[in-house]
Amino acid sequence: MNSLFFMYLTNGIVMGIIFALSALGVSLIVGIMNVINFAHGELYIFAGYISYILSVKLGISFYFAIPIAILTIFIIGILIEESLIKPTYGNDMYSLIITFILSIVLQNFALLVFGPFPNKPPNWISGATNMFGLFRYGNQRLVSCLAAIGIIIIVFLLIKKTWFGKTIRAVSQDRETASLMGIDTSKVNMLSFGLGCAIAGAAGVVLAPIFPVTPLAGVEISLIAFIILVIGGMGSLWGCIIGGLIIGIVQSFGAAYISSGYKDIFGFIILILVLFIRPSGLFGRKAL
Amino acid sequence: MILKATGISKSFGGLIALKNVDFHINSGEILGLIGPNGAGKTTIFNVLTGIYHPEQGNIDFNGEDISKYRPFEICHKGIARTFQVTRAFLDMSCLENVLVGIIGNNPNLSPAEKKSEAIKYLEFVGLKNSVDTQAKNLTLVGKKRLELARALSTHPKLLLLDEVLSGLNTTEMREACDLINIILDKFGITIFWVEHVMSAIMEVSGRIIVLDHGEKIAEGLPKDIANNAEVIEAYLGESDA
Amino acid sequence: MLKSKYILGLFILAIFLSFPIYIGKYWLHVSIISLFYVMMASSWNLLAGYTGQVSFAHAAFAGIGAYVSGIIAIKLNIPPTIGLFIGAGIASLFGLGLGMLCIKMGGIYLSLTTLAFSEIIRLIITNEYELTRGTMGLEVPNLIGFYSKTIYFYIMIAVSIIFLLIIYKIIKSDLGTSFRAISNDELAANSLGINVIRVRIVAFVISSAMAGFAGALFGHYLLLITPDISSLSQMFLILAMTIIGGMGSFFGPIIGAFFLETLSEYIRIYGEYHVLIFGIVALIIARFAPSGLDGIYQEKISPKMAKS
Repeated sequence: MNSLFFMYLTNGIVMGIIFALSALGVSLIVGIMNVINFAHGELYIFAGYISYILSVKLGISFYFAIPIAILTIFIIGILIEESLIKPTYGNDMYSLIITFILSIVLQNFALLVFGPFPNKPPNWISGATNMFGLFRYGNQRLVSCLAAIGIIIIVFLLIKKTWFGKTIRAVSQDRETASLMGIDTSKVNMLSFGLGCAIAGAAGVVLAPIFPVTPLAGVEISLIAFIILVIGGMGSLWGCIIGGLIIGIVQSFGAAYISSGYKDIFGFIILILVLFIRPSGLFGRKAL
Repeated sequence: MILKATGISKSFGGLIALKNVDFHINSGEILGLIGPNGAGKTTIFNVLTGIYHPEQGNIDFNGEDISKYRPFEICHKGIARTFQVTRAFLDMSCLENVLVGIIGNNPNLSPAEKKSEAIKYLEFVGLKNSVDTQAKNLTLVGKKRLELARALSTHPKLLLLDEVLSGLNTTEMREACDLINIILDKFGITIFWVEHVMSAIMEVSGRIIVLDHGEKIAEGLPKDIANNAEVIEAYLGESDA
Repeated sequence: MLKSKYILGLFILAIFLSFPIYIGKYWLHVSIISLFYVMMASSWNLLAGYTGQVSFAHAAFAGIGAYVSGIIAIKLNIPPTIGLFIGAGIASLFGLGLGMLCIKMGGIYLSLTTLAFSEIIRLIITNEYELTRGTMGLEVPNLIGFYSKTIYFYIMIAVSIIFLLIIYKIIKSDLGTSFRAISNDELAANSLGINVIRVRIVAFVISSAMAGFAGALFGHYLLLITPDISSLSQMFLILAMTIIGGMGSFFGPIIGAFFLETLSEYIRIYGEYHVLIFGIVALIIARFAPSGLDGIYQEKISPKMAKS
């Protein structure tokens, strides 16, 4: 065991947490509405762009830039749900096709507006920390990772402890009964889609300082999120965390010890293994 | 005896839907299944048709354990069903709906034979004039008739009917009951029937079993069931009894 | 009525067949590309439109066909005319494997797994430089040994017609009826004795073989194949053409392929933004006219013409 091993491990865990956060929003929406949001990665990059514009071009402090960016994505999410997703209720395949087309539109829109070059909001913090005397690790990565953990905890509390969480869990378990009990399911859909998008936005602002945003950066985020979704089990929040950590760690070691060109393929290999052994994912397909 | 189920148990998550249920169906009878809402009636149908596999127990159908078979295999063995909430293929014509059942069970017939066979069943259920109508344009009664034609087209030995009378008016109920009797007499198909409309099931069934909270609480002739204290008590808990 | 449709069809075909006489090389090229998309969109429609399985691996299967046929032509000297079939065969084997892996889980799982598969194929093509020349592109031999756009145009037409005939036969057959039953209500079809998983895998294998064949054929026309052939933007084009033309209709993808490919030539001046325009058109159609141009024709125009 040398210090490199620990560095790869640390990096894997940090990336895993970041991946988990990226997948959380999609998983939430699938769990509640049975809709796959293909435009997830694009909303993520839009949040990155908004925080970039606010902080770099307009000089607003990132304490304000972050909530504004997340709120904007929340509103965009609600608009998408109301205008495009609502008419497709009950037809899973159609919502999937619509969000796929939307993701292409948003990518090309980003290309038109922001250009093809990477944009990056300023780091929140500079320097690097010496980890256990073994290696140095970038402070921004550590802070982003802590922020990701914070957001994941907030989402868990929101779903497990609050009244809103209870409502959406009821809808995800049995839509019909929930609606008989007087829950306005279409409002729940609207808010949970918005929430799922806002989580994508939160991931975007937290990660933009580490991974500068480009119009196509969202594709990779979406792909990893989808792999985690299948591995962890659709709609399972714990599945997201465990799935994210597995992918993060395997990618980190795979890139270091096997081949960096193929680092994205390791996730797929795990996906195939999971489909063989436990087709419904490690945590099974379940309601929230 | 055409079917014998022994010790059937099935649960969803922590919720027990069926608990150690035993019953049998005699060849050539109409067996009724009643019970309050949520008693597990549709779950029994889903277990018999392979949509769910029971956790315990076995289902002997004509001397073969079918409890692990998939739905289409069970259909090939000779069990057909209708659904409580109709599941016609809405974007297809009535003819095509029935053709699916024939394709699934008799793929080697010539196209002309398949078509005339399908029309025969549509005529039998009274949809002669709707052969080319899209299923989505049928009324509720029409959809129920279509499901019946579709189920018959698979040449079943045992037919499971899931609340065929719900949503029908008195005349339509009368016609449906007659149809059920004809299916038994003319085609010799044994019928296992879930129904909420008590008067009809009491009249048509030869024998009845009663389910409550996933357990069988009574079994016998309709007149005995009507006077069974436990059955009356189970139904008292229900508002529309 | 039927006879007049038949005559109209033959008339259109005759005009089409005489294209090389009066349209220039450039539009002949556009027609060949359109025909490639007719094959791709129609075979994807067989899967997505008729059985309801939205696969994102269709472009990847075209890539597999193109690279397999190209590589064996270069390394093993196998003539491209045979390579086409080997490419299609390998693509259908991948289709079988992928289908067996995820079709049982159905719907969303299939879409997500095929999407991941498609990215993996692109990654492998990009990374296996020795074999595929990566993003530089692989130079492959011509199908017929010499270069003639006119002959290639006729080959593409012949193959397209064969594809369309096969697809038409399938959708009018018992198998096609099973396809539609499954996409209408999988559980009901299963309960009526249809082996749902087997039927879906059959659809998946047929459409992958067609994509592999079309990809190989197109590769030997372009003479240079790049990882782009199996990219998601390629997949988007196929999907957009099918949606715009009309998903689940026989003529939809044909109309969509010609419409979008021709449109793309006219808006090429807007450079990279033409994809944005496609996307917006597809989004509007998907939202407001889900049965596409063919659906609009069937509902709005055809009844009026029948009346007059």
